[in-house]
Amino acid sequence: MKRYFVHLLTSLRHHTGLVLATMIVLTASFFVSGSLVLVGQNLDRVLTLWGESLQMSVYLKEGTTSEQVQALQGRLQKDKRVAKAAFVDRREALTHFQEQMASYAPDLLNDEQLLKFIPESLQVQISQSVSSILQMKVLQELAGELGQEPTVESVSYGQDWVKTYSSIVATVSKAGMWMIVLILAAAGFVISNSVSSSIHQRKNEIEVLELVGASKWMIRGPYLFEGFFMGALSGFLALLVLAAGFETIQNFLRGELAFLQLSHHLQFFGAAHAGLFVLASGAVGFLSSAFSLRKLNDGWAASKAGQEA
Amino acid sequence: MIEFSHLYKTYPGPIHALKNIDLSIDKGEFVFLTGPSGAGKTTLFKMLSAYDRPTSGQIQVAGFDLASLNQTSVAQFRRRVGVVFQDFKLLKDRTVFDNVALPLVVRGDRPSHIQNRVEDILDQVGLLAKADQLPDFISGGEQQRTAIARALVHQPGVLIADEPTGNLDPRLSEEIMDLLERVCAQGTTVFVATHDHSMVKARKHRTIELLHGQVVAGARP
Ligand SMILES: Nc1ncnc2c1ncn2[C@@H]1O[C@H](COP(=O)(O)OP(=O)(O)OP(=O)(O)O)[C@@H](O)[C@H]1O
Ligand SMILES: [Mg+2]
Repeated sequence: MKRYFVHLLTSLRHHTGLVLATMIVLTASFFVSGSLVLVGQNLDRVLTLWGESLQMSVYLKEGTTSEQVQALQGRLQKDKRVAKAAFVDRREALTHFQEQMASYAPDLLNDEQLLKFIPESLQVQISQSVSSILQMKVLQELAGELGQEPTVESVSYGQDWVKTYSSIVATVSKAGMWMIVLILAAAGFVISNSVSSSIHQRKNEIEVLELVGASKWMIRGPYLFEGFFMGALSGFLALLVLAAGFETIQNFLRGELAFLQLSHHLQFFGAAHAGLFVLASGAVGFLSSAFSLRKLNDGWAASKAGQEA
Repeated sequence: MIEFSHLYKTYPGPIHALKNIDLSIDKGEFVFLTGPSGAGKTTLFKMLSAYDRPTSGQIQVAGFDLASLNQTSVAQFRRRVGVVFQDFKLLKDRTVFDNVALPLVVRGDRPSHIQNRVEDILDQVGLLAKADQLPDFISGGEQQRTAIARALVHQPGVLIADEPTGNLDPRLSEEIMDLLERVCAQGTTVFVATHDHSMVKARKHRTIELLHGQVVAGARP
């Protein structure tokens, strides 16, 4: 183990520039990949949250006539922002309510008297043509307008668009995955290039080790360790930058965008995911190192020395 | 012990560095290899030490068929031979001690054994005082003796030395040749390339002569 660290320090001393450049490329690509994963995770959370609230129940005042209901419904149907405005009468609402509350107070719910207390309502869905970022605003706007209506008692949000949103999230995360694969492949290529030039600078050492009969793994071990260590360290740095960025965005959300009420719904990676992220970064470094070594350390490095240079 | 048959080595060019080499050397023999510069001495040693692969033909050394070594067996073979390279091939970022210890380190010897063995061989080549120096900070002759010590430290069955006294003064050359003869007396087959005719004459060992890539004298004992 000590041998590996000595090798690492030697490497750092001799090719400081190269090691740093590689680390920067690695950190940057791990940062982008990490951001994508993080955004994906939180998008999922936020869209689900929004999806749940992107509907509203417009409760009507006691004694509203069916003509008034139809007039309001008709106006809403024509509104570009609205996809659907469905009337829910007392009995329907009660059934729904009973279904939801059955386990809490079964006796109470059988009481027909309850019907009097249940208001009639319109269930309003926001049009899908409104972009998901704006839907929240539209909802607030519309709720404000409806609150002014003489026939409207109160307005409340909440229904389930989860299905629509989960399909959006699925698409987004699929695209994100492909992007990560692409970025990691590109990073792997860059690292492999730079590791292989580092290896070529130490060709002499590999040659001599081969010539005194060092086994394949004895020669490769320190380089693989170096690759892993550089990858893992870059992953760790990327994570730190990511955490800082995340905190900044959180502060922004708590400040100017507080009305979105997002900040407490966003989450950074947990310990397990963070660990996994660092390990995966190490694996990328390890693999690119292994790839570069395979070509040079085949037992005959010394005999090829003159030919490539 | 060592057997070349119909061995050819052609470098890109094409340069026919070795042509139809047939040689055999017995276990425990002491053999000189001579010939003018460019005759193919180093190339012959490269074939013999599995530094490079022949273009065609066979080499058998200590039971290994060098033409068909894979990555594992080539390492095993190299642990059984000691080679003094014409250009030394020392690692510049390791001390004399660490360079000499390499053959023992790669086969996984115990540190205490490595310590004793390396100090012993450094003493024999007169370099104990330089053990902690880096190769760039010692003289050419000292580098050469470091290379010799590294080739001997693991007590190989075959020692191949390419001009091991090229950078040494006459007195040191004699000392090194005495050392190689002692090693040979202990059972190691020693094969030494040299330009030093007076030494070849004085030492009275079998001498193989190369010219233009061909053996012109001493092919058989
Ligand atoms: N790697 C190589 N690529 C191409 N040609 C080579 C290579 N190594 C040696 N040669 C050529 O092969 C021939 C034999 O070279 P070699 O080094 O074996 O000679 P030598 O007998 O050791 O000479 P010296 O006494 O100067 O060390 C020379 O013509 C040389 O130019
Ligand atoms: Mg030579």
